[in-house]
Amino acid sequence: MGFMIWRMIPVAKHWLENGPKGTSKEWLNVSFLIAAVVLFVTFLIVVVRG
Amino acid sequence: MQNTNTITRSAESILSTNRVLRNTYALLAATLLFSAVMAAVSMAIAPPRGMAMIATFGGIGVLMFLLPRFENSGTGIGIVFLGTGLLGFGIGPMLSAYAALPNGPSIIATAMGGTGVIFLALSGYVLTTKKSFDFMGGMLMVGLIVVFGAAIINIFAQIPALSIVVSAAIVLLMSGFILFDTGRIINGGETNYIRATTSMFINIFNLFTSLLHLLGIMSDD
Repeated sequence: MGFMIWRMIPVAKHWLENGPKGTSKEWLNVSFLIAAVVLFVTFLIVVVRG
Repeated sequence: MQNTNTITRSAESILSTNRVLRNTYALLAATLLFSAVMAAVSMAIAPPRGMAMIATFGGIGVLMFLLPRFENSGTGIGIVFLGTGLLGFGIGPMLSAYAALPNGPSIIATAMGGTGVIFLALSGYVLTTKKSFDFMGGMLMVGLIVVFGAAIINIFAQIPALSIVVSAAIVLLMSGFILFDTGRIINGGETNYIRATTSMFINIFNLFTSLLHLLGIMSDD
């Protein structure tokens, strides 16, 4: 895992420096999708707890 | 003339993207099935935990170090099956441990179904809207480094709450990676279907194991 982190640091640095920047609308869109995943996982937990 | 060239190039680009997408999903389905068969074999023969751990690290090693050398040739397909098969074999004992719980088979089935729904819904969203999620790349990589760091700390600290937080964070990060990777295939950012399949397989594999862990802890069993 430590080795994987060491390998990922330059990739993360590259994406942060050279990757495209999202608009606030794009990030809001992603937030809604992630919120939907959170709600779904919460539903699964409720189902499993019976 | 220039317009004709543009139209031709654009049509070629769309055809190429569709080919990558079709090949990726076909290979992904095959590797998921093979990995599930290997997990079932591992559950049936019940190997020692050490052997399962060696299989898991072997799978990671094959996909991280061996695959990049062969990803542009037909041999790459065999190597993807080798890596994903080893990963499937590696989770056998973990699945056996969950299956032994009173509510175990139901937890495994829920985690499997939940993983399928999340993957299909997020991939379907990107395929329908054709949006690019490249802007998430930096955040996802940093998130992964932070989560891996927390997981390493928890190997020594053994804090149950941190274990839940790490699993929940991996579920969210892998959901983000499904959006990111599908967007890259759709928009021509990823043209190698062997590499695309490996990324998607790892996303689904991590999503399933983390969701299983989360549901296992939350089920009170």
